[in-house]
Amino acid sequence: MLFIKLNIQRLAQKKGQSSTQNGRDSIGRRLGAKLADGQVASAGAIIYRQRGTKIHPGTNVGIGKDHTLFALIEGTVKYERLGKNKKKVSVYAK
Amino acid sequence: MIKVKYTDKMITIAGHANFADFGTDIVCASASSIITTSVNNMLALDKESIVYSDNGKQIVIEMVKDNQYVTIIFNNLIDLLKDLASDYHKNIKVESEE
Repeated sequence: MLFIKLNIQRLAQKKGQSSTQNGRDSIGRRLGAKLADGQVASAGAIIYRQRGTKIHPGTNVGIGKDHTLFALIEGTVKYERLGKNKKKVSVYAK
Repeated sequence: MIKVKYTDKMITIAGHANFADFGTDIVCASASSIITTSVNNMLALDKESIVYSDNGKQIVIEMVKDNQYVTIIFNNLIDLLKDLASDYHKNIKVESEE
């Protein structure tokens, strides 16, 4: 005689509530422009954070090992074209 | 995670194993089978020896009458759940409340 019925999934998650192995993401890296066109940059100031060279270094602009662009002198930031479809950023002394 | 809490007279079982999807969760199947078998055996020996309740969230098994054989099955139930927890500690935890 069975007093309680055997339900072998009694302690399982309810149907449709399957667990997933996903659901993780890294924190945003806040890339992009730090100084806009026409702004004044002090020497060493970071102008643009990027992965690879979306924007290339122009006049008076250096590039770090993580492709960060920074001003080499104090001056005004200028975003310009580079060839047909590329961009560069330069800093011109006042 | 299935959480099992026990004293010498009562066992409470709550939670989900979360080992796999519904219908394929072997940890849940093992625990459910161990519990169901033990409870049916205890009731078969002496219907008044335990009080069993299951509200869908929590299972409670309480020994309300001293019976030597029921006590053996009751303790064996705890040992089996502990044995299961030793292999699947991420999915079932067995703790004494004494």
